[in-house]
Amino acid sequence: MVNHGFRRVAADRSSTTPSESPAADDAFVVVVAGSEADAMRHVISQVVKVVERGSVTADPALRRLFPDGYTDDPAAAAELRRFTENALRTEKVAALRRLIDTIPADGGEVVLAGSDARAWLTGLTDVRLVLGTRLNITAEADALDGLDEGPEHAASEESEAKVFLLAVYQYLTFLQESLVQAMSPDSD
Amino acid sequence: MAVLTAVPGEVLTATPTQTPAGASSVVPEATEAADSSRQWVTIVWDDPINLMSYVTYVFQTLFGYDKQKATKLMLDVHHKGKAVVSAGMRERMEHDVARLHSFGLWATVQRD
Repeated sequence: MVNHGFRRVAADRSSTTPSESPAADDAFVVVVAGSEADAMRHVISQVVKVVERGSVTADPALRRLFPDGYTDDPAAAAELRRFTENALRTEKVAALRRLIDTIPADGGEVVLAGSDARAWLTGLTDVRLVLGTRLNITAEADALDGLDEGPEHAASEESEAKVFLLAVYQYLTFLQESLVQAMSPDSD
Repeated sequence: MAVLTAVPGEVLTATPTQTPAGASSVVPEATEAADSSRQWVTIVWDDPINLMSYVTYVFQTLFGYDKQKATKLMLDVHHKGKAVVSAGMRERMEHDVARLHSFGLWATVQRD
């Protein structure tokens, strides 16, 4: 059996292949395996800590989540950050927590109704941004940099961690692509 | 964006290194206003992680652009490294940037 990712389920449940734009009370459903659920909860919990408590100046992943609003005016950028960063952090943490709360404990169906779909959309983005920054992902190579560098034992442990994170990153990319497609209006 | 031409990973750890040579080099392709004196623009920058479909969806959702226009803007970001997505008063642009950041896009404000 092949998992195609998220699918849209019309509110009246009379059709699982809707041909019109998503209605406000539609739900988005995907089946996740137990191991996938565990991996997601584990990784997203770590991302929550980073987003909640991390330092933007010290962490490139947070600089990506909370970029400067001006490239040519540090004072204006600092001012804009002062006004917007706290609310943005709170909003992102809430979405990530909602993500964790909607993953079934031992795997199974994820059913997103109402604002949960938006929480997953932005939450998946933020998790992928953090993972992608950590893994130094560039568009030309999802492969990992420097896997074969450094002391042998350190590289091996670090390599395993990177391989795991990359697998999670790729899985979340698959989930997000399917969710965007399911949520997108079909008509122009 | 993902699966597209390369953007160095280090770009994500620093403020954008691409800067326009001067205000006149930024062409507000998406602007609606006719009088552009003292105008500000919102720029969205390319990144190697966000999906093309997602970026298009965000432009439709945030700005009300139809799918065709949103797709064109997304492709401008992809092909040119950045694109102007809105124009107007400074406060409005700062608001747009904050909303784009809440969606995980990389956006900045600058003078037209």
